[in-house]
Amino acid sequence: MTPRIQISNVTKRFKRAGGKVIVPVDNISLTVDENELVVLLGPSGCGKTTLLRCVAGLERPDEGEITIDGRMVFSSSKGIFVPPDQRRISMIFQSYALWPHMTVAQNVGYPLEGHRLSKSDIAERVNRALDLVGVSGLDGQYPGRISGGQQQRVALARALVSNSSVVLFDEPLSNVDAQVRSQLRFELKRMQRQIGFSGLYVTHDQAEAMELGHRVAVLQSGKIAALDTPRRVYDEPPNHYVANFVGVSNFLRGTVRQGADGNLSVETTTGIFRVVSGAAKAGASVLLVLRPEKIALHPVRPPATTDNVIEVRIEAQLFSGAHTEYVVSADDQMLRIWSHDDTLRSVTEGEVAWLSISPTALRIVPDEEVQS
Amino acid sequence: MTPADPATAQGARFPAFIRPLNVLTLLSFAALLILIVYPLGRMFLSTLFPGGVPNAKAAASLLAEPWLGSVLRNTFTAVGISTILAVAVGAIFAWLNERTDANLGLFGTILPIIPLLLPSVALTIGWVFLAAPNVGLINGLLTRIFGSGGLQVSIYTWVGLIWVYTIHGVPYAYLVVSSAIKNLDPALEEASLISGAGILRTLFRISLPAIVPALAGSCLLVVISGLGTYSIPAIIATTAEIDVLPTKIVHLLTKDYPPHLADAQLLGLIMLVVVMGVWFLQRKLSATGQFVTVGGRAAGSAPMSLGRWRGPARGLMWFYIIVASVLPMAALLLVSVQRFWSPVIDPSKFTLFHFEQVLFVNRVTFASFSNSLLLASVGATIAMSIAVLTAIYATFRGGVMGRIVDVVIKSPATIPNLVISLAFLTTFSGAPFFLSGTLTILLIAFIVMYIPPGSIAAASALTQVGTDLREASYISGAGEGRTIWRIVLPIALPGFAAGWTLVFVHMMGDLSASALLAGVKTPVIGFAILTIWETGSFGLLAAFSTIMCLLNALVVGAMMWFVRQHSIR
Repeated sequence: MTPRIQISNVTKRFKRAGGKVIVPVDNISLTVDENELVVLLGPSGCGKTTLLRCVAGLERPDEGEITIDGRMVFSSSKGIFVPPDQRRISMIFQSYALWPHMTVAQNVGYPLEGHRLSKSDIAERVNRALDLVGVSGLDGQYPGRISGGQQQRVALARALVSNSSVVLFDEPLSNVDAQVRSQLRFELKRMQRQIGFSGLYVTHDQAEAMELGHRVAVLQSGKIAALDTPRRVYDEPPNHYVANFVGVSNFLRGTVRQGADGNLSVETTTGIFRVVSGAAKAGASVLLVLRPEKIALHPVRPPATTDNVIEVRIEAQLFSGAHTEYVVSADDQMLRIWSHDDTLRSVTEGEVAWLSISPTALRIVPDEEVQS
Repeated sequence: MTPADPATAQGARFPAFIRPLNVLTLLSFAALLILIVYPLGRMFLSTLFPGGVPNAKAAASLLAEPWLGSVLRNTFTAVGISTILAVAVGAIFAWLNERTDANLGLFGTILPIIPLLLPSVALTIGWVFLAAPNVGLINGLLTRIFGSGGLQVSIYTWVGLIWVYTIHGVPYAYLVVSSAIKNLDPALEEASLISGAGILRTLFRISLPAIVPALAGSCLLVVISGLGTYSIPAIIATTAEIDVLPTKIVHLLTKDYPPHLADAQLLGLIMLVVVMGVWFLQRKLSATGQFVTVGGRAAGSAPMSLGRWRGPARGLMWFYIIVASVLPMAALLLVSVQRFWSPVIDPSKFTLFHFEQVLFVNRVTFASFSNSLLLASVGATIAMSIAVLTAIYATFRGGVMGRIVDVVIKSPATIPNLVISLAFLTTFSGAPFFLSGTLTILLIAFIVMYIPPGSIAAASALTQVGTDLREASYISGAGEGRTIWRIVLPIALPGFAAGWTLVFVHMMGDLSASALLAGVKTPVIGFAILTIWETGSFGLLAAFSTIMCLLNALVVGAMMWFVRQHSIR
């Protein structure tokens, strides 16, 4: 099966005022399969929007090739550049980009105007699209008169009305409030299943990326730092950047040791941690990744059979509703622990406690600072 | 996201083949460029380097003229003092209105419209009717209060000249400064107030220094308009026997025989050099870079409280509106309904005699109205089409070419109108064009002279159409043509209409081109006003000016209605 979007070795450079060249997209290759939604995740400035705009044709890359639906729309070597209006794609903009002088129905019908459809056909498809996104009563309204969430739905309807097989999303949910956002996320997922389209979705919100993406590409200054299913990106981050950006992590610097039994452990200043995963070589400098929700906190010293126990001091406890965050210190290292355990209510700041973490829950990533 | 260099981004979108937008823009742009560069170049080359050698004789003969020193001194004094006053008043008004509780809701709306409703020529004539010696309406009032031989005022003095120049310059300064203050983050001023500085110290230490480039820009604007406006000195300075550059240039060309072309051209060059000097100063001030504090404006900051100064501050703004519009309009109206101009107002003797003369009897006045209406509507339409095309081009394409187009189309704003009209007279009236005394030469002069305000309006209207709105249209499968037609034009239309009106009103009230380029066979409003002024038929002049103001009011009113109907959100 050929992928719907194929990005091969695309590079885009900008010359800043003053002659400094920045490379927001640095030799990126990526595919999006049929009915797949790939999320481009990264902090601002990582190049995710630039990559999306290259696919849309709103930016012209300097190098590489882009194929959409088997049709080459950009190739630096062959000198091909198909302008955006001929790429037969849809896109949802961060600002919605609804045309203020047109009604909702005119906005949604606009992409159909080039399709040689009769007026009644257009009206029917517009109504169907508005129905699909749940704003069927708004067709005669102007965009300035409806709420942000409704505008977002109209923008969605406009993107879906022409049945493009490829839909691009540029941080579409960043301007609506939290409740509407989670509702729209859910509906987006349902619609994607229902209609079936391939999507490239840009966001800086990792929860959004996790929920929506079939695969997530984490971008770091123009390069892909990780590309996998959300679960694997979260559970097995390949490097410090991904472990740090996706989810919350505690890091402990250490050295890999191989015991006589062949088991691996990591020696840190706070203690020795037994690990099972990771292909780390003995003697290598690594960072241990401890996810806060994987750490258990004990008010009394756990039995000696428990793995990876460390004595810590409670520095602060922050109740946030769903869980409580405990900030503990061990040998000047601060660690964050998320716990639902009600028996911990009695602990107070300044007390001594113990943490433990299962060797299977520990991850190892290379210590880049030592390597470089 | 990384801020994309718009030049690269836009340039990227379009492969290098010919598109209608490019062709149309570049054609009209080339035509405009030729019309700006060729006449000025030819005029100055023929004056300064006839046959390729420097013309020392012309310069020497000008320098030997006994009047040169006093003309330059007079111009410097009149324009200099009035510019300082106008910028000071305009800046204070802008600050009061944008930042303090003395703000008058309507003031910001009314002030910029005053010069549209009451062109400088009508303003000047209005003030002549108000403050002419003996017969001026103010003098009539003063006589009634103090008796004859008591306190009197005269418009035909230095004070009178500077007074009208200043009133004329205030709206220009206000517009520039108020938009700068609007963009200035109020937090800067609030921080100063919280640091314990009073309102005055905040104004002079924070607000004004932060907008120095805007102040310099408004000085430039007022100097240019002061030098280039022929109406004010033609009517006041001539009678007051104060020779200034604009009147001297026209005098050398139209009153002396044979015309002193070389002298006039050299005087035009001096004007241009002065403007370039001010322009250079302004650029230098803005380029130092410590003024770029224009940031995200916090919504709804509370205006500063002026306390007991609030009343006087408001009074000052009302006073300006009255002297700049109400009084001169009232004077025009009063004189126009009197059979003979008199400071004694007797409603029982009011007559429509002069209006009848203007509209039905006097052939020149009627012809000049229809000529001016024709020229202004055709001229404004052509100028606005070019302005819109080039603005779209500059916005869509960006890049070096876009910037060049933008600079060139606004460049006539830096050339005093009288200099442009002088260049047109020199270049196009004789061989091989023979356009002397035709409507064509007036039309193209009008377009070149008055395209800058239209172009500024077009560009600012286009900034309302966000890049994403265009991109969403491309993505929807619409090409450039459909995007412009269906998205860009409808959204920016009110702004374009406002620009059209601006250009139209300028063309209607023009005196600078009319004084040199119009003839008896092609009378226009400006020409008719000068002719009537010289014959001394004041009632006729008042009626004529009143009708001109009414026509402008009609067009401006229609435009405001249109904008209100079509504004979005």
